[in-house]
Amino acid sequence: MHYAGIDIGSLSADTVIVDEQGKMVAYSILPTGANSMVSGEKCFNETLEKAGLAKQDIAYIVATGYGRISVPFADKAITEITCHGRGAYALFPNTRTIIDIGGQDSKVIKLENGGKVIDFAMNDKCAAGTGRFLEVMARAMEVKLQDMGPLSFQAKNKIEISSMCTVFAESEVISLVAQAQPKEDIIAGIHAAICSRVGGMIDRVGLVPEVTMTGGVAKNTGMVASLEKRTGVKINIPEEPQIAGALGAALIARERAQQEKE
Amino acid sequence: MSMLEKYFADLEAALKNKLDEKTTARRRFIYEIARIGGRMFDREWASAWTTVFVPFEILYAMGVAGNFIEFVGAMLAGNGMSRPFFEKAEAEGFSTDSCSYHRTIIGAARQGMFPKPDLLIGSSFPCDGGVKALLRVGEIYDKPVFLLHTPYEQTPESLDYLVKQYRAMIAHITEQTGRTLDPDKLRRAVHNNNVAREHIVQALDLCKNAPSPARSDDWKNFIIYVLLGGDDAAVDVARIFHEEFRHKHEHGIPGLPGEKYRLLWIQNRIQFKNNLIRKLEEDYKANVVIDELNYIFWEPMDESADPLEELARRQLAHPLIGPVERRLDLLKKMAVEFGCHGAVNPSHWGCRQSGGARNMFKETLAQAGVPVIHLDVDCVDERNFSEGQLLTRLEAFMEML
Ligand code: SF4
Repeated sequence: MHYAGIDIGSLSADTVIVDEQGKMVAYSILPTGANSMVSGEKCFNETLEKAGLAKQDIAYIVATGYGRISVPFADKAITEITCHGRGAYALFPNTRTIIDIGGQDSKVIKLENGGKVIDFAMNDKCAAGTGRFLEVMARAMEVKLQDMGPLSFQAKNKIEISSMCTVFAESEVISLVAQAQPKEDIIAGIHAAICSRVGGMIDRVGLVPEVTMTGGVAKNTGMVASLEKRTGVKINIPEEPQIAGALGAALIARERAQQEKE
Repeated sequence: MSMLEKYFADLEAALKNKLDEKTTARRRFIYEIARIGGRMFDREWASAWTTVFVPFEILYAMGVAGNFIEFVGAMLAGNGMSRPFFEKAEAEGFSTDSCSYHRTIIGAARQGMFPKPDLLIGSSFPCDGGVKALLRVGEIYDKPVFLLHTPYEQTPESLDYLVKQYRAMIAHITEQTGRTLDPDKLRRAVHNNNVAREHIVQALDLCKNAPSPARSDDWKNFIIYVLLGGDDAAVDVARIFHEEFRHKHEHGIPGLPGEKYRLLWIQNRIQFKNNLIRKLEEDYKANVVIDELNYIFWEPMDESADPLEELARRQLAHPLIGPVERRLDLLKKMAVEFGCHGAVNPSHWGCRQSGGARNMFKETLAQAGVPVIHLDVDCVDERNFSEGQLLTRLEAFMEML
């Protein structure tokens, strides 16, 4: 039998399927779009196809992410905090602190030995310190999101972005562009701004190494470097950081199914 | 009849009908509160707007019906009526960062929602926001505000100082309304307070059992009980709570069937309608077994002593004044006594009381092995409410437990 985890975030819907041993057999990432119910199902079907499986081969499905309640065919909905904890722990078993910067929120999760969540802090209600913040700034500078990381390494004089608020920071960035300030320096400043926001949460929860970063923003090498500088520790980055939540969900699905059998 | 007067009259009538069908502690409590609220419009009583912690027994013994503004703010929010009042207060320039309990009231007073009160009486604790809101209401109604300054320490000098202020307050009420203090009524109020206190202590003691005979909302906002001010009804309400929970306990009837997790709720509840408690109860079998503000922190009053002194002693013992350690110790004690698995701190926006101490709550309760979740929610202004985000926090917290 196989088990699936579906993570419906604000920007992407991710699915992971694992086998009896908990080994990942397939995954998919699709944009969430306007209808999370449709994208969840589409993503699940696509992953089934990749794995060469049919729906009836999946014994248990756990849905997670903000859209977890819009997956009617899931057996259980579990929050992304627990799922990211489980996923990051599976990828890097020495993980004690997880930094997850997603599209809509960012969170810091603390695990105990064994992978159980013992504390967490979340930033929401405000886009500061999230992937959305980065996206808005990239747009304001007309730079591709994936180029932000490499460009930031070329910064000579990091420019301080004083506003935390996405709206104010956007106009600040636009003014800096208008003043012909080097984009690289502005980008380094943007990373530092997110870092300072997330750093507050890290301090609140208390950093314990190893640290693993999940969520789409972990693909931004400049952001990771900035966080490593702030924390003073090397951060583990999964090969595909976006699917950590879905992977955790799939692993929990496997455990649940086994528990229910017992 | 103003909108609010009609509201209280309708509420009282509706609750009376329900009570005739079946008496429950909660119904009786709300009924009595509605009755007290209705006194605001009854010319047999002088009416006072106050902040939350003033000695309502003294007001009661002077024929003054007191309503604290935070209660009115909560009530408006509970009925989904606050929005225009926020807008009014904000249009006047009040910051959205201020406590929304107070902002509602300023807007409501500006909109002429309430009859002009005869008195405005504030207390320097728990927060200066309340005092400022009352001062603004005083300007709106062109009424003086009497302020009680509660000293920080529990010393004989503080006691003396507070008693003097009570006397000054009594003189102020007499000057403003012509009403005098009825010493017998005050003694009776103190006596009633003692009797009621004992019932509540015992009712709360029963809730220390697992499962608790009460469920999350049975004790919701019980703090407004202070409005009964030592009235005979205060004793009835307390007795019915005690009897109801004793009956349930003795017959093995749990407040929340299948209770699995026991929670401590720090400070105030979320006042507008939402699904958080229902979700906690249904999906996690989690029961709020004790609210910080409901805890009986004072000793019985000495009925042979000067009632003013006894009331002042109670006020000085309040955990929301003095060093924060007082409050922290009590929170820890509650968490242990009630066998709590976790604590929920709404960390109400604009409240410096709870915002400032939030990390200390976490550290202190961690010593008792009780984790805390900070919700960061505005308990009154639902325009700032995103249920999905809060549910994620709360559910993750429950998964963690
Ligand atoms: S919530 Fe805080 S600021 Fe608001 S009335 Fe209560 S103590 Fe004062």
